[in-house]
Amino acid sequence: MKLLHFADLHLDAPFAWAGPAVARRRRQNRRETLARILELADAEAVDAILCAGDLFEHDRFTPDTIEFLRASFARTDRPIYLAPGNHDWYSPRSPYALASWSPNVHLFTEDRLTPLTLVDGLSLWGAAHRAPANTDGFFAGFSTDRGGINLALAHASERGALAFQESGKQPHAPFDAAELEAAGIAHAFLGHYHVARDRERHTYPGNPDPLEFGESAGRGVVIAVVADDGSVARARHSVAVSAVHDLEVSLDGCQHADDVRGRVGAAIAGLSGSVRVTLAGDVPAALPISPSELQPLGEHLDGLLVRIGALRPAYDLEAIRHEATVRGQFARDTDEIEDEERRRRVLITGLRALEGRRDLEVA
Amino acid sequence: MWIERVIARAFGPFQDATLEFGEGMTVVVGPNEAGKTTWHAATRLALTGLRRGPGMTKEAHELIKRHRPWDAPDRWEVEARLHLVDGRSIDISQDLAGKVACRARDVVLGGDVSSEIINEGTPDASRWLGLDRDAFASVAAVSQAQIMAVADNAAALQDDLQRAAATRGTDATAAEAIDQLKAFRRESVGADTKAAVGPLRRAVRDRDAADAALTEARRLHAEYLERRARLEEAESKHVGASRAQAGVEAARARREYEDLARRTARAEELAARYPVAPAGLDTQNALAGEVAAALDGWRHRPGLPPLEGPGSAELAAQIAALPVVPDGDRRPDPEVVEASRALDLAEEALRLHGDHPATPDTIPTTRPEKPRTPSWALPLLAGAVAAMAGLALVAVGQSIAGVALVAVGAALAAWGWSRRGPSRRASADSGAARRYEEQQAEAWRSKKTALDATLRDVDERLRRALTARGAAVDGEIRTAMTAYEIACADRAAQAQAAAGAEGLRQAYASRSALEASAAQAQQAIAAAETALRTVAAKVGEAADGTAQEMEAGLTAWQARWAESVRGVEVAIREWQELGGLMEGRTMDELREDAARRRTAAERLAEALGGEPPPLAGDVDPEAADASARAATTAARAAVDALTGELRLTAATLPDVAEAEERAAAAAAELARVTELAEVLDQTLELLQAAERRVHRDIAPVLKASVERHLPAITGGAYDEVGVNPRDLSVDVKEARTGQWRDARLLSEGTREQVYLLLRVAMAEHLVTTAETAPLLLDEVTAQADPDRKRQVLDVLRAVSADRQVVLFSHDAEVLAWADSSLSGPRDRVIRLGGW
Repeated sequence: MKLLHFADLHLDAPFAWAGPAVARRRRQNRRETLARILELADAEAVDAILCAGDLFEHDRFTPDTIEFLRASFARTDRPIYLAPGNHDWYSPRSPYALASWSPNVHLFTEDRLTPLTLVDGLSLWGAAHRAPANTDGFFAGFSTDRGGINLALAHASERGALAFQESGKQPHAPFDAAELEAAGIAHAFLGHYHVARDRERHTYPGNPDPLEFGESAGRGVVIAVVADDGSVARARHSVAVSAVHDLEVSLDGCQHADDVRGRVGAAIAGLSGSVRVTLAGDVPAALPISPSELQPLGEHLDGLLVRIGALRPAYDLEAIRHEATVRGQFARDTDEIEDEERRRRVLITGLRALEGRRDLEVA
Repeated sequence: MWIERVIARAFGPFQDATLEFGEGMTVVVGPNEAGKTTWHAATRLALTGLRRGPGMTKEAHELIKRHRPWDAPDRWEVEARLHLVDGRSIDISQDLAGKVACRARDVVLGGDVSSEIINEGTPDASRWLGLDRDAFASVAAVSQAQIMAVADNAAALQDDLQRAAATRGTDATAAEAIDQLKAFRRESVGADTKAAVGPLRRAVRDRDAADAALTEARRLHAEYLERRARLEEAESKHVGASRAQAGVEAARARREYEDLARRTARAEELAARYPVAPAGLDTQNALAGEVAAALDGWRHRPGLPPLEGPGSAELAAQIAALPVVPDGDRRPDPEVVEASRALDLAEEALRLHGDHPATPDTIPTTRPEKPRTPSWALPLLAGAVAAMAGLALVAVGQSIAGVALVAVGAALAAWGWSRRGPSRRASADSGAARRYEEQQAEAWRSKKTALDATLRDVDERLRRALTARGAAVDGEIRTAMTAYEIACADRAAQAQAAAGAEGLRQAYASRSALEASAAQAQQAIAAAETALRTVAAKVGEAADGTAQEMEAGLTAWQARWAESVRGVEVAIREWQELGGLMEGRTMDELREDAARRRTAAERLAEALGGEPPPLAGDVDPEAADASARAATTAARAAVDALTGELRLTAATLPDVAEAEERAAAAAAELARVTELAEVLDQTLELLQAAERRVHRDIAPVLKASVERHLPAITGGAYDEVGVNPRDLSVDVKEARTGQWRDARLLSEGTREQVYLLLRVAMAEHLVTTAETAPLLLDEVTAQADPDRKRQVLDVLRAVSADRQVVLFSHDAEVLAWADSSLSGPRDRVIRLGGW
């Protein structure tokens, strides 16, 4: 049987770094990603589509998004199996319960594994999160009650991957990989972790459209072919609509603002989508650097975020500290500031002020 | 550090020209345009070089513009040999044009020591002083322009001092920096008060507004979900109501079909039984009606009332024979009776009184014999008896008689009692006894008189009573009383006889009514019989028989008739029923209607998914249908209303993600401004603290340094210096008066000299290494008078004992002083331009 598996689309999730137009564009991109997923399902002639949760954001969805989902799912006649996650948990007030889904949509609503028969001899056990947090693991102590091949679809946290995954992830519905075999699950199609991960008995497809800057490669959807012996052959496909780039631009050698603009402009010239530029390097102390003034360079992009990284104004701080001047004393006194970043900002602010400069906001 | 020589390889107008200096003081004099300023610049740039790359100061650009060779701008070179305090001699060469072939070399060891002093790409010997090329220019080189600036602007002295203290003179003063920071803070952060409108409060308000908008967006989002759930519930109820209505409709349709099916079947049965209409009963019905009426009339004829006892005529005769009711008493009037009784009593009392006379003649003269019976006892006893009888009469209502009798009895008893005393003494004294007897006789006579009076009274009263009752009272009262009593009895008997008339009259009235009723009954009976006879003749029954016979005959006729009528009635009823079932339709139409209803019922049942539960027998289908429709309509209305609400809510539902983004942006902006405020505040705090501390440190240094030479340089006019640590303002004390004067208020010449000393002091203070900075002075005595000039030059010579002083001047007086004063091996006088 041929299945398309995806998860963590996070429709309607916010983009705190972006302005309203860019954020809307990115959210629209996610809808278009879903369209690509469904097109790929048709192109691959899959027998079913699996979604392992976090399809949308319960706290933020718009009615239009739900109608979009309903209409999108209704346009295909392929069965679609949904296992709600911790962001789109199932409840009587969830869009999952209130929307009029087309008959091809099958929703798992219990917070325990319940079966649906895909074909004779092939069962799909699915479970739903029914709360945004504190969902227990689905697999511990569980055992299938039938023969044949038993697959699973769930939004769950494999404990071994916690350190590997992006920080801040909470272990929703945690489980150990070994529990799958003990439960009689041939393969589990999972969601929650956004980093793509293929293991012997489980698959995390990764988020199909970028959510943040700096995401690892390989995320998308998985076309899985389940053999008669229960083995699964996987092929990954990228369906992302959003192009996201994360660059560090060195300003070494830049002497004036035009150099900086030129350096950044060159770095992003051939790119599209959303770009985050981190400025770094050694620059003359007098060189004014304003991320906001670099924004117009990204007019050809969906969005440009410029931030200051390891940027070092070329003050001879060692010499300054040895001066018998107010400046020297001030520089020496800033050594008492414990926070490194604060120390840097205070020092440069004071030096600029003593230089008679008016650009006293140090990024 | 001191500069041994400077070689202008290609500098300004000089080509490979050399100037050699003394370790102490060197005076370089020459006329204008002799190159003094050029040598001054060459000396400075030989030490410091120029920075490689952009970012030079304006002053550096000025130097380039002024001293770069015009005809061969690509070659601009200068060299110098320095001697350091650590004993090294360094040759430093500066490629001021290309800034490539710049080098510092240890003369003795030959090694390249450029790396020790590389600053911004080129070697900068001022690094050995702990300065940089910009600071060196500010610290070690004093120009005429600077002197003149202090002369022109009194504040320039303090400003220069502050600038030097803050940044070695290269940049702003600490006060300027602090002011700039404060201004920037005001502009970029603003106040943190509620009424403020600066960036910080704006960011706070924006954050608050964004948070409020986010909270509202979330609330509306939750409300939308709630409404959606309510709509779902309403839709579910509507579905239920619709289904119930469909059930009722289906059940009703089923019932109607079943009713119609029954009717159709019945119609078919009746139609088969009565292909044509049965015959009517109208005419026969009328005859049967007459028979029934006659029989009914006969059976309900009135009964004859029994006429027993005397008839009304007889009673009338009896009534006529009755006496009239007499007038007058029919029994003695109670007053008469009482008066009569009183008379009896009075007579009796008198009689009793008369039986016991007691007179003086009868009183014996001899000793009386012992009385056989006490003479007092009998009257006492009689009186008691009479009193008791009187009391009894009073008790029974005969009060007058009773009272009279009691009075009599009391009198008797009193008299008897009065006789009791004397009789006891009579045996003892016959004289007394005689008096006693006389008394007794008197008493008896009195009593009799009273009794006679009483008798007369009661007699008169009786007569009056009789007269009042209409009795004749002539003659003896007893006779009149008896006649009255007899008359009463007679009247009583007559009255009793007359009392029976009322009963007779009532009997007569009753009897008369009864006789009339009997007559009417008789007439009715006769009429009923006549009716019987008439109708019996019509139907051919025994019309000439007795009434009973006729009744029996007619009753039999009725039975026969009813039997026949029953059959026809059933037919007619059923025919009528058939008519009602058909309702003007044909049988085929009825069957078609039934079939249609069946189809409709089946269709409704199929739509319902099965047979509906039948309606209860007592349920009105129409009412049930109306109720179900009303419930469906209400449920539909609820769905519509909620749908409208939800649509409106959805249309105006704010985007939570966008609200979160705005809130995040507002929070980020607030964080930025807050962080900026904290950075600025901390910078200010540290800068102000550094200023205080440095000023506090430098002030005494400056004071000591300036004070050392102040009296000499001012000709003894001022002997003390005060340097305020707060702002490095300088005061000097006038030696003569002891007054402290603000240095800014001194004469220009004095101010210049004080400034020069302060510059020397700063140079001393700001060099942070073991080296001493050479002083390169250009025309610093131009504004001084000859005496002051000499004093300044003497001070500079004194200073040169500790550090190299190179003075450039066009002044002949300076040359004269130099020739006379600079004769030691450490000093030199250099003449330029033919001097």
